Amino acid sequence: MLASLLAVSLMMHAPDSTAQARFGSVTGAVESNSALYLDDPVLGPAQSRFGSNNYLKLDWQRDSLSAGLQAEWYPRALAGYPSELSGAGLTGLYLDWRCGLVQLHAGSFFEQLGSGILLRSWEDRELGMNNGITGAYAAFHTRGNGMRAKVFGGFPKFGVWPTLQTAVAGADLSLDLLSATGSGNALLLEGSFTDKIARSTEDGVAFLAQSSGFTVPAHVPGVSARVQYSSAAFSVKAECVWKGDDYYVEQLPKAREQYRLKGGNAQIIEASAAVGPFSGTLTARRLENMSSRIFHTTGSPSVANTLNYLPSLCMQQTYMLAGLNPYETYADGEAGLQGDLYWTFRRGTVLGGRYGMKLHVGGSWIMALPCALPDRDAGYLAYRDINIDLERRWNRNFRTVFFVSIQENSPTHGNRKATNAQNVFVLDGQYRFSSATSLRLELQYLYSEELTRDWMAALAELSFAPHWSITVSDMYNHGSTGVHYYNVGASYSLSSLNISLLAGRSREGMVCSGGVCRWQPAFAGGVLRVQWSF
Amino acid sequence: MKKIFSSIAALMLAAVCAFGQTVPAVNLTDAAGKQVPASSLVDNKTPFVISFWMTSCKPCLKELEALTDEIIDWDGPFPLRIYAVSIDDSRSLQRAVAMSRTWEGITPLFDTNADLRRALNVSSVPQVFVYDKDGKLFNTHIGYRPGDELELLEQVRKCGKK
Repeated sequence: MLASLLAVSLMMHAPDSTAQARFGSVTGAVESNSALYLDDPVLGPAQSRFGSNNYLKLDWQRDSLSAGLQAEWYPRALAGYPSELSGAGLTGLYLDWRCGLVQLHAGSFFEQLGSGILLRSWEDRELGMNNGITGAYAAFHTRGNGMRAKVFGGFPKFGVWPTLQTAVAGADLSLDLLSATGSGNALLLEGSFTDKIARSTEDGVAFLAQSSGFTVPAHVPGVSARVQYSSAAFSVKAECVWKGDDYYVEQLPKAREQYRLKGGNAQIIEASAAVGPFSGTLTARRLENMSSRIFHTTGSPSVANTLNYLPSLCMQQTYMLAGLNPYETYADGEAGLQGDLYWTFRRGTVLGGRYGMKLHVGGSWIMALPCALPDRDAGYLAYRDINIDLERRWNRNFRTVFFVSIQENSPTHGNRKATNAQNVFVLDGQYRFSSATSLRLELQYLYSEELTRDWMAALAELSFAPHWSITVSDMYNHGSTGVHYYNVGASYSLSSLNISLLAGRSREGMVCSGGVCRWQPAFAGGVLRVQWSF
Repeated sequence: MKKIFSSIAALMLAAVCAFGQTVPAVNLTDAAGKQVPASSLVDNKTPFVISFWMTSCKPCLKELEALTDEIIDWDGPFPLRIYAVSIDDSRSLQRAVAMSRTWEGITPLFDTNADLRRALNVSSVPQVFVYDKDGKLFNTHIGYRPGDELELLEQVRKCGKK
């Protein structure tokens, strides 16, 4: 089977133009993530022995017409994924027609308005997240894209069910006032409107009505207004979002809470610029009650999915220990600043040396809004970090990265003054033995006096381009638990096929993205991942 | 369901043998926020490379850096056109714009609604696509290992001779 897949994958480079013109072209992808869970002397017995998440996506296109589908199959979902990911189903199906300046689309689609704080539907398989909308949209743009407009409506999905009962409708308009000038600059004026339409038959709506007499509003309108000026070296963008009265869980002192109606709003200003070897960004964001929840329709009064995107206003960490305790946006209310500065030391300069050097300094500072906290007179630090990485290539074969991350995170989202601090230091070196063989080594240390205290980690990766790589890593919590989290992995790539196998012990933790989090339980065993597109 | 999956997969394999891929009809944006149809990358004269990347993907950045080094020494019979398509979302889009502004020889583009990513079925990054002068897919590769850039440029040369 594998040999056939490889053969076919290679054959795709010999297209038959006549057949393609007549029948159209078909593309697609298969992805399978399967895990075998084992009992472990430290973690205890495995909760289940097996988990497997599988995806198939197919698209057909002929001239201006295209169609496609996505199917998902969960004989038993991977550990930590939502229990609704069970069985098999057709989770996407669409037909799309484009003719000149007009596009009509029926079926499933993904949409983002502005930064996504008002509305974003997207798929993230790492999270088990897919809030794609099933419905229809019509889009129009003028020649040169001076004006673009779109109207849409539909039902977001969750799990392998076709849709939830909550509906969403919206419209978006974008004007580029400089499009007629022919310059490379853009001055965009944009606006969006949405309406989230809940039904009284939804489980969560019915539950709130019965248990506390609270009526979830049938319509929650939302508006986003945006302005952006961009040139090749500079851009500044501002967005204001307003959300009508929505279901809100108000946090009260002494761990009490109450349901009430509350509107939401958000403001974002982003700027970025480049001057010579420098480039940088600065973002300021304030948001208040910007969760946009969708309830379950079968069997649970809890929130099933979300309709917008609330990413953390801080750097997405990539080193193991730096990402140990990620910060997640406090959607009830926070305000923050984030900035990054990149400095490229050119080749041949005193500091750049023969091969150049790169320096990045970034940081973020986020405060909770007192109005969103149980103690109304609070409003302490929610999160801050400073990240510095210095990358230098010493000769044709050897390069290093030195990385420091100083992080401070409030476990109460700023309701109390106490925070957890951690300092992470990483040395990442790569040596190239030949044009195809290289070794990368990471040494990491986390110093902290809170939570699980000190950690150390190491990773070695041996690569044989263009097909193979082998990885060995260990994360060791020597400050508290004394547990090793070790892994051995290998991956193979050929054309659009990628197969990876990872075995060992993995730590529990939150996997978060855009206001959506998934609890990943600790496990021991092996994970096989196969991806192939054609 | 297993049988359905297998049947559909088999059908698709048969179809793939006969049909090739062209650049999908979706829009990207450039560093100034202007819409750029993906089809406009086809100039009917020279091949080009699309490299998907994101700011939190270290192998992606290493690949782009390695390509930047190789561009300086490129002595092919045609200009090397490399488009780095960022799939960063609003969390890191500004960071991607800022990082790309210091690049030399690589044109940054942005796929903020993941339209091109979905159309090309990119499930993990980095992934590079080599297209011929007429916009037909010639080669693709997932992942980056040091040295992959040499293989990629070899594919571009072959594609240019086709």
